[in-house]
Order: sequence, then structure tokens, then C-alpha cells
Amino acid sequence: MTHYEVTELASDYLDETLEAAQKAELETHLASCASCRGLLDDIRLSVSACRSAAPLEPSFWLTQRILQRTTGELHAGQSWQARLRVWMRPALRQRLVYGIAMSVFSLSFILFTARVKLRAMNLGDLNPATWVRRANSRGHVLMARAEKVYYDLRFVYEVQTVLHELGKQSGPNTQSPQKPQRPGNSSRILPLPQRQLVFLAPPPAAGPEREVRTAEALVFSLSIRRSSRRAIPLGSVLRVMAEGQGSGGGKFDEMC
Amino acid sequence: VQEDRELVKRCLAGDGLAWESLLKLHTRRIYNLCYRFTGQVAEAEDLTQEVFIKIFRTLGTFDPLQGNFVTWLSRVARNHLVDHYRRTSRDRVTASLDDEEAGITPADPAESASPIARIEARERQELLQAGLMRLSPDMREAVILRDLQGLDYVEIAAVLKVPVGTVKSRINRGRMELGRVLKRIMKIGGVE
Repeated sequence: MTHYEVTELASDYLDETLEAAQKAELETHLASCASCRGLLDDIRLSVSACRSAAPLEPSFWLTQRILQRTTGELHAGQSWQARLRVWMRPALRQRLVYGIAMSVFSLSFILFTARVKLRAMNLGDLNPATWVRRANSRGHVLMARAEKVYYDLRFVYEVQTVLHELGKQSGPNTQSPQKPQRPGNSSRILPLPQRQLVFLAPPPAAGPEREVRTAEALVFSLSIRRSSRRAIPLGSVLRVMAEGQGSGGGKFDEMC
Repeated sequence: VQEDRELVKRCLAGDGLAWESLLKLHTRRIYNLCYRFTGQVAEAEDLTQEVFIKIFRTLGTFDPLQGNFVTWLSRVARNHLVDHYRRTSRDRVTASLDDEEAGITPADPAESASPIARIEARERQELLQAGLMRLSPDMREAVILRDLQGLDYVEIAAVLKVPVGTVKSRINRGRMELGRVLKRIMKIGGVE
């Protein structure tokens, strides 16, 4: 058998459609011809690659598209349950949930800004002009609150910075800032929050003593205001501190 | 075969359900034929749609005495593919190994298959497609019809309207060429 004949019969040989005589002749040739064995290997590889490949799945919508283009009907002949199942496929279900969530959020936001109470609605609540007016008013209130918080924080930061600077200026004979003491009386410790105390300097011998005391009073006033939501005038704190030089710090506790 | 004939009869009588059943039975086959021929998912879907529109319009010309429905369907699809190939041959760019084909979905992927197995299956599909795209259209369609669509030589001869001997020769040469191409691609890609 020649190489050409082997080439022509190779597929038939692999498909096992050759007659016994031809098959024997071809196998004899293969036993002595490496080139034809290589050829047969190529065909084997090709056939196995094709036959092991799983068929590909067209997209779900292809059939629906064709149906629409041919009979003009989508989901023709399907029961309503089947149509619902198709419609509620996972991808759509996810989108639906997102859509509902966003709608609820948007509606809640609108009702919140328009100050509409669903349980006590009146005719005026249905007027879009009322919604706009209320939303405008609420927006301004929110803005004002945000502004107030911002300025409060800025004020606290400025005070802390000032105290820090004062602490630096108090000289090398400073004690540990972790254990601050009342000026002039080391046995009494003000009930100030540790956060503010860190910035306080110990009592200096002279000079900046008054500034330190003022700053301390300022922080104390702020800390009371922040913790108990009571506004205590700075002057009162200073007065109490002045009295506290000789009579004890019980009044601070009363303030808190 | 009998089922197809019954469905065709009902379709011709105006039964929409029968058309939908026929469509569902054969969409995957035609889509695979189109995809293997073009190598493009979107193009294959468009071609599949066009083929079925053609089938819908010419269903009355199907003669069960001249062959089974699958052969007739494959012939219509193949003729449409050849027309499309000729129409677009000027614009076509030779496929390369770098062609990215997104959206290849093997049918009925086993839920239990590991991610690695899935990736390997996908790579095998891409490798095969790259190899097929390097064959001449004559050899490609013969190999697709025989080894991917599972038609026998006589059916392929009926689809291609060529003698059985020619079919055998094209399949034989196509397989040899595809094997060589696959080997070369695997060698370049370092696939074992």
C-alpha cells in the first residue's frame, strides 16, 4: 500500500469501515511507516477534539426572538406559570429587587423631606407645591444643623490648639501631662475628661498662669456642655475655679 | 424523524405550538453549525435566526420523500452560510489565535464540574474553534457536519449536494489538516 492510499483510507480505518483485507494491508504499512502513523495520529486528535466538544448553548432569547420574527408571538402556547417563570428568571429577579428597593428608598426620601405623615395625611399634603416648600424648609434646616456641627467642631479644635500651644510655652519644669493637677492645690484634681487634660499644662509659678487657668476653664465648660448638654457660661467656671483655690472643687461636681 | 414530520405537518396546518416545538428541537443544532462555521456568537445567533425565518417561509417545500427534516434543515442552513460567507468574504479578517470569543456556553454544563474543569472545557472549545477557522470552508463544513453534527456520509452528501466520494475525501483532508493545526496551536500555546 502506498502513502497516498493510506491518506485516502485513514478516516475509514479510524471509523472502522474498511474491509478486513484492506485493514490488514494498511496496518502492515503503518507498522513500517512512521510518517503515516503520524498522519493517523493527526486524524485521531482531530476526531477526538470534535467529538469531545460539548454542543454550545444559544442564548435563551434566541428562540424567543425567532418566534417573534416568525409567528409574531412571544412564548406562544406557554401557560401563565411558564411565562411567569421565564419572567422571573434570576437575572430579572435581582433587577426587580433592586428596582423595588430603590423605589421604596426614593419614596421614603420624598415623604421624609416633604414631611408627609402617611397616618395623618390631609388634602394639603397632596399638593406638590406644599411638598416643594416643605422640602425646601427641611433642606435649609439640615444645612443649618450641618453648619452648626461643623463650626462646633472647628471651635473645639481651635481651643485644643490654643491649649496645646500654651502647654508648650509653660517651660521645661512640666510634670507629666497624663496627671494634671489643679493650679495651686495638688491634692484636688478636676473631673475633666482625660482627652482635654492631655493639653493642659501644670501650674506655672507666674506669668502665663492666668491664661492657663482661662484655657482650663474653657475646656471644662465645653466638656460639661458636651457631656450634659448644659451650657455653663465661661465666667461661672472661672469664678468657681477662683473660689476653688481655697474652698475645694465641690461646685464643679454640682455643675456636671 | 417521525416526530419531525408530524410537527412539520402540524406547522403547515397553522399550529403555532408545533412550530415552537420544532424550533426548540433544532435551534441548538443550527446555532452550533453557524457558530462553528463563523466563530462569532452574535453572528451565529443572527444567522440562526435568518435560517429559521427562511425555514418558516419555505416549510411547504420540504418533501419527506427526499430525505429527513434534519438533512433538509442542514442544507438550508449550509446554503445560507455559504451565501453569507460569500457576501462577507471581502470584510472578513483571517481568524487568529488572539481572537477573543466571549459568551461561549457549553450545553448543560454539569453543576458539579469544578471551575478548573470548566476552564479546561472552555479552552478546548476555543482551541477547536481556532483550528476550524483555519480550514478552508469546504473542509470546515464537511468536518463540522461529520464530527460535530454527527451526520453520516450520505446525509452530508445530500446537504452539500456532492458525491459521497467527495464528502469522504473532504472529511479525510479536513481531519488531517485540523489535526495538524491543533498540534501546532498546542505547541505554540504550550498545551500538553
